Amino acid sequence: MASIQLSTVAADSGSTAKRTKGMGVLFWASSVWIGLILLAAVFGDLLPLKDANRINPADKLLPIFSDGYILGTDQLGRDILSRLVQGAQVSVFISVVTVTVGILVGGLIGTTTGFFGGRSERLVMAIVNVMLSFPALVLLLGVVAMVGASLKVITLVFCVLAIPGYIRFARASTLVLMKREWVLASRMIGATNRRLILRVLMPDVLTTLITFGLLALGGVIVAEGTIAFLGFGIPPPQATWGSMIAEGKSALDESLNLALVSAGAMFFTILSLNLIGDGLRRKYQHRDAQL
Amino acid sequence: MHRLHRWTALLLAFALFTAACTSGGDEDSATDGPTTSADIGEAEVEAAPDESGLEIQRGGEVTIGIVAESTGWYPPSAETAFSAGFLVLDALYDRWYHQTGTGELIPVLAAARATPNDDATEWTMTIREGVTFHDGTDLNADAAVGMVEQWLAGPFGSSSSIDFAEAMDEFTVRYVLKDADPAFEETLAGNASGAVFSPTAGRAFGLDDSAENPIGTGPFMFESWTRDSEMVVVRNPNYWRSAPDGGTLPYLDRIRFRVLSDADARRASFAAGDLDLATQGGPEGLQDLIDDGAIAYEYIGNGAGLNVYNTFEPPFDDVRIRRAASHALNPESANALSAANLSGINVTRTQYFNSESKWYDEDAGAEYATYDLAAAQALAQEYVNDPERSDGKAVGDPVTFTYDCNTDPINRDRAQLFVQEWGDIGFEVDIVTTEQASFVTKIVGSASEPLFAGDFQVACWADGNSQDPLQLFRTRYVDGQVLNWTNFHSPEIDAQISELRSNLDFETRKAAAAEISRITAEQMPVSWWASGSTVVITKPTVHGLETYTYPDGGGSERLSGGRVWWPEVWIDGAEPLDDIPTGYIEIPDVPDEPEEEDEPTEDANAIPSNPDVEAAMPAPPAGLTLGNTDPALSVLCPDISFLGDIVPISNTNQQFVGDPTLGPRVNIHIYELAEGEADEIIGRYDQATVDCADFSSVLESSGAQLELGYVTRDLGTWGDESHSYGVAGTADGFGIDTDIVLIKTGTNLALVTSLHILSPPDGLIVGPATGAAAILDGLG
Repeated sequence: MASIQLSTVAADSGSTAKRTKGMGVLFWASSVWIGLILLAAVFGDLLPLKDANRINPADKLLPIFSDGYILGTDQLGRDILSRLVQGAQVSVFISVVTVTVGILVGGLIGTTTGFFGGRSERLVMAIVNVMLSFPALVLLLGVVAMVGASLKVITLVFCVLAIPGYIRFARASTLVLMKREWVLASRMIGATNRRLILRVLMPDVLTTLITFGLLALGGVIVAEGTIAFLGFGIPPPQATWGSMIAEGKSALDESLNLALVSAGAMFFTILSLNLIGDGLRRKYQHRDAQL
Repeated sequence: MHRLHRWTALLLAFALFTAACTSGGDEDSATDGPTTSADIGEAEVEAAPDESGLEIQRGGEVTIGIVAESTGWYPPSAETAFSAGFLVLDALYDRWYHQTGTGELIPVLAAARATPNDDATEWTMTIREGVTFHDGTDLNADAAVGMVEQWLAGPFGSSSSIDFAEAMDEFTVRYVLKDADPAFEETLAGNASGAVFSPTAGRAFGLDDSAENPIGTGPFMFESWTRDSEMVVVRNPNYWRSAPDGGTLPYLDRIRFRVLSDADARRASFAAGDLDLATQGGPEGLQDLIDDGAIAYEYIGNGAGLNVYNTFEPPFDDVRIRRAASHALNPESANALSAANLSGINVTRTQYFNSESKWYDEDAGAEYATYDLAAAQALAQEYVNDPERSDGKAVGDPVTFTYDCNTDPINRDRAQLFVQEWGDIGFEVDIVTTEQASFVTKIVGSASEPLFAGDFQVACWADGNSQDPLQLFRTRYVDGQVLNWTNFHSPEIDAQISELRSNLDFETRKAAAAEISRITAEQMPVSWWASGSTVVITKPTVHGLETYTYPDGGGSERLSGGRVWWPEVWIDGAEPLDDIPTGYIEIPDVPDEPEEEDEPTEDANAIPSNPDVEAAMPAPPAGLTLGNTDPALSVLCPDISFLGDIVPISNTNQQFVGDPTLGPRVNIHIYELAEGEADEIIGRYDQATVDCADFSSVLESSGAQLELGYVTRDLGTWGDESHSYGVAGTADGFGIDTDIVLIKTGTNLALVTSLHILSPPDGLIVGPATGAAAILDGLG
């Protein structure tokens, strides 16, 4: 272990300047794409786009670059570009809320239980293990079947499903951090538990969780896409990328672009998130290693 | 057990629903029981290839991809009624009659048309001679009687229209019905109800195992079945029919039915050559295959998609909203979403029967709310501005409701279009999609109160077939029926149903059916989409799909609903297979002699009616009409014997149909009758979830020894005190359900009366006191 770490340090220390300058073309391209998606999601309603839900059977399944429809139309004659933007809003909302809630709630619970240990830790971890071992899709479909699918319900279920993972991750980080010098030092100078958790441990735990969360964003988008594809997602006419792929699949014989455009948007978004997450992780890992 | 019955009811509904919930979706046209869907304008449908010059080859096997299968293949078990399963049943079973697309009945296993008695309560049928079942037993009158017994013992026995059957001679059977049924022969032509199965095998295997051991007289015999995967049938070497050329039938040696529920997967399998035939819910994606040489047989059936409005639920309890919602929908837009069929025929429906049906009435649809935005807007505005509007909202508030549908992609697309069109006239609509099984439960409702009301406002659905109007309307538009999804019913419709039931004359019956079609066109409990189509696609090497020679000559027509005449299908280059059985299928020994059981059943059914009491029954109060007559207690619970000296007033329940918002009740309460005391309920019998075992056990556990004290009872206490035994009632204590007096001594039971008054209109209090007193006088 030690030798690997040493060699990493050695390799990295020689090229610090190059590394910060060159996060890589892919990283920046990804950042631009994610930026675009974010902008589209936040300001989508202000853009001069067609009504994403207006059905127009006469114009159904138009190809890409058709007159008035840059990305063509879907099987109901709706503008694919408008729906892509509407779908981006859903994806961004669900993934950002889920990950944020996961990081904050899961991080706090995980750090606290890891810090105190003992019986409460065993209890929390038992619950976490039970929740992690429960098939998420089944729970999700069950809840949707009972209370009906809506953006709020699905987001809520995603949050509940996401939290245990963050608890476990935060607890593991906490256990490692607790042995570090500055934590021990803070303890010795008499910091209160509250201060230790919130001011000493949490900032470091959060950094780790955020890089993890960046990767998880993609997972949430895929998960939403999966249930939408299965037909249990947010009810129509609300567009989501998953439901657009599902609709595109049925129309595959007649038109490729509905499935391709929506699947492509999802693909590039997740790829970008992974690339960005990777880049950031590499950066933080190095900083950590240099400590 | 109660639950079981609810499920069978649901299964029945599901069977009817299956399809087309998708009109253009995946399955065959919705059918149940005696049904044959007429093919609209056969001539307009893409013509079949001319096969007249080809030389027929015998042998070989084909594989067909089907949408779904049944949970069993034994006709008396309800699960067999799933529509995709009919394709399999067609290979295994012949029917007594075949009903053509125009409604004509062709004798198949019957030797001739059946003859009714004067009031159509009894039908006599002669049976074709020289036919044997796959188990080697003979088809004769005893077998026909045995079949009826098996049906009555099965899960759907209680809904059978047959009371009992008896053999007149070796090849003549007489069916005695529970009620007059001028269209009884259609039951004998039904997909499941008309399927002729071996009662010997049915008894030998028992109800459960029979599902996996189907024994009929059909062209193919059962070989193997891997549930949800593959059903295999082989040539019946002893098939009773011979080919037009004098040789043996069927031509094929083996058929494999492969279950592929996903339409895309089925199409892909066909394209890859794994399937010789495939059934498809519509023409989507088939053009490439047709271009590659595949042959498409299209069936534009009578089944169609529709929106059902729940008339119990505001705002759809108001006809203005039902009409507005229907006027708002443009069929052109819906049709543009998916081509309805290969031939481009889009028939917009206005009534249950399509234009080819003999029951279709040109004028009846004139009142139908066709696409008319201005009318829709006017009606919607009128409702919105009505201070008395039924949804309780303030004047000017928009109408809001939810549209329920399953998760089928084409239905979701259509739902979104409807929501947009409704939005254009100011309705705010949410779409709720639910997976199929839960969806059906939601729409059908349950056996609790209000009976089968369903939990929806408006929903996508599928219905329509060419059943006799009596069979159809008494289940669709009579209060409290499982299949009355809309909960719509009216005294006028009930009156016409009585006409349909009591007349044999076609013109009179047609006028009654037309009147019901007119009333429903005016009241709009449902609004129709265009008729859908199903397609059977075949390799070019498969022939004879629509050749069907009737047993007595003539024939050759396309079968409905994406089904295939199996006996005369053949393939190019066929070679006889060498593993085809040459004998009969062996069945286990029959455990009991069935003959013994016959007599008590008949005795129990032979309930005499008491003319004195009947005369004493109160006439329907003004404004109310006589409702349906449900299966008699004696039929539902044949184990219970009735007291000899107390003659039940009738063996049916009597219902007066009233206000639709108050819901139906069909209860029988069993009271211990004692003078001067409050009645103690010792048993309660709820017909909607009838279960005779429970019923009997309630009687047993009560342990009551009852006196014949009925004369001392005042049954006429109504008003505030009545709620103790008037189960249904309005908030102010007004009872809307009279009591039924059952008198029990030991295990004997007498049904004294079964008067139900669901709800008198306008707060009119019907006087059961006088009614009951008169009845009891009559008994005395």
